[in-house]
Amino acid sequence: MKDIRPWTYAALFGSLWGVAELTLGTVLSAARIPFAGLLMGPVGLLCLVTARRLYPAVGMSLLMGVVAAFLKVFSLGGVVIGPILGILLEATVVELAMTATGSTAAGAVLGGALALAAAPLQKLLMVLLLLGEEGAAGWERALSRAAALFGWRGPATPQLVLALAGAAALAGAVAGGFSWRVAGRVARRLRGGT
Amino acid sequence: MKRLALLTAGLALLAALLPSLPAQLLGLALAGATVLLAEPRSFPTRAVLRSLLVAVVAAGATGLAVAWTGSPARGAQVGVTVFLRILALLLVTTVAARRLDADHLHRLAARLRLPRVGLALGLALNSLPHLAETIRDAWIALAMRSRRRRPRLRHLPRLVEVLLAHTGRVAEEAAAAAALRGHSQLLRPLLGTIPVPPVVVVVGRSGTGKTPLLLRCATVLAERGYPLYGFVQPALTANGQKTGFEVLDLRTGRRAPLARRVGLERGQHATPFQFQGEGFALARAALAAGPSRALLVVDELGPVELRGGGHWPAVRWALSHRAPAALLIGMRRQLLAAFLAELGAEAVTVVDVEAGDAAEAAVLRAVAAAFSPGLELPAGGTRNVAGEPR
Repeated sequence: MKDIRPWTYAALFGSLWGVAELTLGTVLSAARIPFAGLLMGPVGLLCLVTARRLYPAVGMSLLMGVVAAFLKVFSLGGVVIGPILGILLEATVVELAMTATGSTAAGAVLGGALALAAAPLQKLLMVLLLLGEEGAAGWERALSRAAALFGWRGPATPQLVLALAGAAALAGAVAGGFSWRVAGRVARRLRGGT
Repeated sequence: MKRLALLTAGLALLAALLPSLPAQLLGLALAGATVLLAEPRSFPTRAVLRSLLVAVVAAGATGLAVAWTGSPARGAQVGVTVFLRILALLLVTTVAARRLDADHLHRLAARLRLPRVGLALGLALNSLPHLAETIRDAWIALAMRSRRRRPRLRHLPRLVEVLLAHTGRVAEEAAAAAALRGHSQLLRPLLGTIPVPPVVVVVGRSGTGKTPLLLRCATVLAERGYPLYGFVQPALTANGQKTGFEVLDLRTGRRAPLARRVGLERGQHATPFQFQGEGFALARAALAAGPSRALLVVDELGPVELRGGGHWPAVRWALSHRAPAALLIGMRRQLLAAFLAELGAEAVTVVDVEAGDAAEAAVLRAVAAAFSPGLELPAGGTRNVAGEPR
């Protein structure tokens, strides 16, 4: 990169994302709110898309992810492997989508959809990583049996995860579009110097 | 010792992720070795207890789930495996989190030949308190405006917008500061080894009078006998609306159309304008015909030039072949950082056009200083170099 601005933009917007993760993310995590990653996803998306719209340099979203993940290491919540992986995954997905579409609104929508859809899948991956295949399978069987005890014959866990990923993708697409719109307003605000 | 700790940590992570029980035992042993090597005395007991608690709960619940749906023996085995794995992972990541700081990352990035990444991380860490404070201030300001203890939910999008815009501004300022300090690790000037003279930059928002100021200054300086050449780009208007731009050669007074407003859909280079070759040709000629060791005036450098297009090749040529004594330039404020980075100039004076009368005096002073450091400007007239009435 010939210009230094991609670096400062990535540092500052990554830092803003990091602040949100350190404050809101830690609160959500400490309160044991389920799917906190899905709630924090749009916050990161907003930072990623805005920085990319203000300065559309390839690789910037990825660097923002590295910065936010680095700051997340200092989280008070203790072990943060899951959120760090989530941040890096979101940044990578948005980077790919934005680079493939030339940093357009379509890229923001696609990146948002993929980033949020990846959150439940990442959760599944973490469960597999920590509990192992057998442990995760044991949990799935136990949950199905517990549900059956109450007479509920719902879909199996993989189908549930896929349905959740689909819903998250839809929400992510909306969040991506909204982020692009906000980024436009921010760009106008900066151009106008107000 | 540090390298050994790093090695044991890596091996512990690797072993913990393998599915067999012996691998988990080895992983925990390596994680314990990492703790002893990295922090033999200061590792907090609370961290160990917390790790133990998390591992016991997760392993116990998983073991019970497997025992319920399979066999108790299998459940016990899976429970032990999960306990060892989670404990090893928690110990290693806690050590990593406690040992990792900005300096470590900076050094690591430098070792990996990625110094810019290290600098970006340092900048992010330094800006963290400022951004957190800004969020708090913006929150309080919104609450006060809505006369409540907390802002209403509908105010949140505005809060977000303000924060993002502020962050963008800080990023620009950080880039400008790095450029002004000639931060060699962040900069890679386009001009390479071409020497850059003292630079005077007139900055301001679009439509705030950068071009008229440059024209006034060029007129005064020519009147006072300073050799100068270059061009300005006055706006063309019709019914009070900006319809385009033209190029005005400061030495000859010749004009040529440069850009015509056609709307964003049909515009070039992501602008609402279509550019015309005559304007670029005149600008090129104006720069090529200049004398050596004179003041080079360029109005203005925009995003196209910063990408190496537009007037940039002509400016580059003039800098390398005419060795100007000083460079007077107009540009939008938000491009300043990138411009300074491209140029890599050592002596830079930035004048804000919105400073009013002081702006003109500041430009004249800076140009005079560039020609002859310490020399006061003589009193001068007001003839316009391009024959324009003032």
